[in-house]
Amino acid sequence: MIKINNLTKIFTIGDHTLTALNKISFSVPSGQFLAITGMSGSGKSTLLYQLSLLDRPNQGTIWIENVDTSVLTSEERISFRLRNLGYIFQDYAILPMLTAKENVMMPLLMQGIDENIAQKKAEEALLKVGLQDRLDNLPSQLSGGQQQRVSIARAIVHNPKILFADEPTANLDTESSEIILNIFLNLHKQGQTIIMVTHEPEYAKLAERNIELRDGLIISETFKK
Amino acid sequence: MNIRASFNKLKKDITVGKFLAVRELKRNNPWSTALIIFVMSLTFFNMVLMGGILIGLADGMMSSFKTYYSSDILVKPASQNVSISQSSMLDSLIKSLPSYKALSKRYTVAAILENENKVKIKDTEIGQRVSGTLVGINPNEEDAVTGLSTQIIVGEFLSDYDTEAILIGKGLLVEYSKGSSTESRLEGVVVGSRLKLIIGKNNIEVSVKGIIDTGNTTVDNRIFILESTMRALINNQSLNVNEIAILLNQGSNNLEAKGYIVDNFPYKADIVVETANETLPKAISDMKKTFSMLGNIVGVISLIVGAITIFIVIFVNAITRRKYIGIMKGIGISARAIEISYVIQSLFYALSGILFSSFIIIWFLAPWFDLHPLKFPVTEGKLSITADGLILRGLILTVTAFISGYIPARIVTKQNTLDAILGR
Repeated sequence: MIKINNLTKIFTIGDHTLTALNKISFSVPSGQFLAITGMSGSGKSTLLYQLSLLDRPNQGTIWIENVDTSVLTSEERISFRLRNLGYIFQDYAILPMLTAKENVMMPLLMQGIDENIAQKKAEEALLKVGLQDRLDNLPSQLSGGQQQRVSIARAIVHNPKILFADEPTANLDTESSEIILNIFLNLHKQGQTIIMVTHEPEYAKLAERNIELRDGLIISETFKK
Repeated sequence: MNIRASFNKLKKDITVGKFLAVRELKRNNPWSTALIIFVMSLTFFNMVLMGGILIGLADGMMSSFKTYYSSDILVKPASQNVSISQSSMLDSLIKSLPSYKALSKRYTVAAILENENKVKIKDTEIGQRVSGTLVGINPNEEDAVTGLSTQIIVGEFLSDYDTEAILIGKGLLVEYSKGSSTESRLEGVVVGSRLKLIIGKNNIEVSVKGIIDTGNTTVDNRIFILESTMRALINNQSLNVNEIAILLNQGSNNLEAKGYIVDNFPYKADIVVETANETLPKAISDMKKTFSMLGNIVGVISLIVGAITIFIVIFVNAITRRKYIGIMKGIGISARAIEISYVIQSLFYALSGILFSSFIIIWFLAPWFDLHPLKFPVTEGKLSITADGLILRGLILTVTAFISGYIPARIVTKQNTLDAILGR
């Protein structure tokens, strides 16, 4: 469960200020698949950064699983992310010096899980995204779609309470995008809370709930029937 | 956070740091890794070799002084005396020393050697006459104490029957001392050359039996002759000698032996008893201190160069991977785990360099320098490296690598996570 109250993010560039998020409030119940849409510059990525604790808002509060995240220190936020959140980056962001399996093992090792167990769990996560035959490949040996699937496996391997995805299909062809979205739908069916930012309306429609932003404000909110 | 939780967190950070570092090192360009290790090896070489050679040079001077001149203890007449009074009594006393191994009694006098053939050609020509200290020895005694026979570079050592032969130090011969100084030396002298030996008003003709090269200027400027010939030449009937060099059993205490002689010799006021170290000219011990300091200065400069190298390597590596460092933090990897991975990498570079250069130094350079000492005008220079010195320098370089790896990693990891990911 996420509760956001009066969330405001202002960027200051020289003498100019830009309000990227303007007193936004909403909540996301556990198990929901939420899509955040909007045009470029609407504030959707900024919102995702605040929700996933990668950035700090200027005002407002974010409660995740009954924890007021505004009081957490930087190290505590890293630790909180490790235990509760999974993040899928637009450009895959998998570590180039690690194989697919090693990339996926990272959050588990950081949680103190034994390397052998971490390996097995990573293999299971990669099986879920259909990459069981690419375990020992380096990122440079994988296609964009495969890299994004590694990124998903890494984000879900430690069973996060909330999965964030920042335009996960932006750099992919249609076929790869559909594979990724099917993975999300499957995860959602298993009860995974997902918050996905996308600028493609047809992908947003697959989500259970859709919030549209413009100039840092929520301009519409729809629920899938 | 309690201590147990902190410890567990540190353990996790080390596990992840090691995991990252090992894979980073494994998948780095091998040539880049080899180049960094090579630079670290050169740094360690510089830290060890320059100091080692300079100190080895001073050690060489000290060692040759002890081996070929003073031995463990040297007895000389006190300043008011010309020779050692009651030399025979002293001889017996020394031989009663528990640690006694051998001694050599030496008669010394200032002498001139003249190459008559040269004088006849041209009066002003250099090398026709040379002054030196003539030393009358018992060849067997001297060889037992100093091993002088092993330092003959041309010809042979004296035997008990060589009544008209001399050994001549290379320092008195032009051909063996080129470029050393402008002092006059004999030219064209070879084994078998007939020379005139002049002591005061007396002179005899002698032949050169061998040429000595000990690497010690005091000995290499001496002329050795049988003691019987010398005593006859200077008309010495007293058997009082001018120097007694004493060799003790290995591991004996020189100071104890010195004390024994001083305490038991009734004419102790007439003699000066010195251990090998006390015999050393102050210039040599000062030189050792200076060389040691110079070696340390070179070592510190190398250390700074090594530290900067590691700093740059890690900093460039971390800066170019700033985005990935941001991503790691984004997926929950702690900053400390990332810093540990960089520290492990820099320690790997430093330790590999240290091990590689230590291997080369211990197995190749030190034995090579032993076989082929550096030839200096005053002595021979070997590599002076002790295990303690090697370990200490290795530790200093390791600590430097630790700090040089940690600082750039810390600079990059403490940047804002989102800024790092977005490249802002």
